[in-house]
Amino acid sequence: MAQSPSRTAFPLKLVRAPDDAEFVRRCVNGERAALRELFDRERVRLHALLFRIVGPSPHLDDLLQEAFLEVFRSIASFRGESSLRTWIDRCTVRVAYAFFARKARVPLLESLSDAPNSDPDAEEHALLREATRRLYMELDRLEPRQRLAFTLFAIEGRSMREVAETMSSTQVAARVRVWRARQTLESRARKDPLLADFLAKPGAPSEPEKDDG
Amino acid sequence: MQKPLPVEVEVVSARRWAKLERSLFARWDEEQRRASEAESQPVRPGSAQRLGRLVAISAVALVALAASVVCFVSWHRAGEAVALDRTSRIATGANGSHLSLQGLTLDVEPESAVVLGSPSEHGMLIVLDRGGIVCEAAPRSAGAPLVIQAGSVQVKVVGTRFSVTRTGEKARVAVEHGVVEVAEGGRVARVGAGQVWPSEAPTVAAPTGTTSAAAGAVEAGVVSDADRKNDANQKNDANQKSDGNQKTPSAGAKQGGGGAAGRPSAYGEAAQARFEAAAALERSDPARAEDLYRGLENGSDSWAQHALFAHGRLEAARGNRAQARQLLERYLARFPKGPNSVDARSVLERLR
Repeated sequence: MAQSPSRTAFPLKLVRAPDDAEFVRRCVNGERAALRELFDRERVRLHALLFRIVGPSPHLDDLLQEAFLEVFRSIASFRGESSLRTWIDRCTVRVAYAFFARKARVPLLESLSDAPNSDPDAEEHALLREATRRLYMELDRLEPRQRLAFTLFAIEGRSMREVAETMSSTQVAARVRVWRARQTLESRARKDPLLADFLAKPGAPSEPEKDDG
Repeated sequence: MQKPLPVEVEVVSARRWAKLERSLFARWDEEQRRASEAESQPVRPGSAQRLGRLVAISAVALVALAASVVCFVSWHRAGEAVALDRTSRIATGANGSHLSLQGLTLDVEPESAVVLGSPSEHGMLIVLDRGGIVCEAAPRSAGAPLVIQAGSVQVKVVGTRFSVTRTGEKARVAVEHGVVEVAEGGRVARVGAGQVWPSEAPTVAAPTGTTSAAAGAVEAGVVSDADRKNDANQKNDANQKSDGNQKTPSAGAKQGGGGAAGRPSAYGEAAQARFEAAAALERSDPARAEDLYRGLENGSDSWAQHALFAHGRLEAARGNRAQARQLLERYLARFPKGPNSVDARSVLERLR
């Protein structure tokens, strides 16, 4: 069964500074056990994050590997100014951004997974999958930063402060990107009732919240 | 705070996680190996350190200059040759990719991903994440082998032309000429020209085509020419009765009038030469390559199978979707169980 998009589905916490410091030290020393532990602790969360940003894509596994390699390479530069989790997310978002930039230069043919579903609500699931497919088709046409901000805010469910922190931008910039992405998507959804329904689902963000803090 | 849009995240199987982890750490190990090689340069202590640094910087600059000149010259000579100075990742989409390095040419098939380590005096590592590659390696010293890692299978190359196709954790190796060593689970096998190595395959069909997709299933273990000759003798009759279309190239060659044991006939050799010429022309002169394939694909031997599939694949790569579909459908109609049938279906699926 698919995992819930809610962040509460991933109770892994890497925010306790003393543990982080010791754990980071072990990773920086290249301890294989620590790197494997990092992979085990973060893989599901990072996969979900990348999936929500990129959508169903045959490149997802490659991107996940790239994200972890980026983390392994750069962990020595982690200074503990944010949580390790936020820092890892930032690395992942960088990898996703690079992917979108690459993709813009060399368009890749992607197949969207359509796994058979034995669920009794298969029809509803099929509709949901189709709507998701259309959403990501439209997201593919957005400017990468707008897409990242929108997916982090509207699909990953992060606060504007978290979006800004993850994208290393100001909250104003993040809010503007989400707003522009939403405007573009809504204008395209006017011609696509399925996408319009999907975007209008109860709870879907209608307006970016005000700046936190 | 509003609830997020209900995008369902795909489920990752334990097997896929294991594959991901293996591939990730193989890449990481390769990076670390290169880093440790770079660090193993001697450090000059004390007051001589500055001078040492200066000398090192000058040497590096000179080497870089020399390397640039060599690369520039070889690039000009080889047309598309490039030099890798760090790990590179190549992921192909609908089209394959061709790469020419010093002493190595690599055809990465569509929908494939490979990681290339930088060549060093200890050799070179290529990790095949998915899909297939066709490699042609110039003779290498035993101390600096080319190593291909495909799942749990490791192929060590001294100098040869061969293909590796990865399907999940399985891999198939087909050697055209030269010798490679294939290692899996601590067992090592030497695979020679005309042989194929399956890591896990239940039935028999021994391809030797130029594309990795030509790799068919063979019985577990390496199948030699002699083994194949015996197998082919036993199975040719059965093949003709049950599925006259599915023939191995060696069996096809023998049917074409085979000479000495396991050796192809003059026709077979000519067909092979034409096929190889077409494969070599795919990038530089695709129209000519198509002509050559066209001349082969109406035959009834194994090269007709390969030519028909290769022609369809080439059209797909060139963006001629209608022709590609037509050719691949023709291939599947003629050779529904041919060695390239799985790939033909997958390309067709993508074209649709």
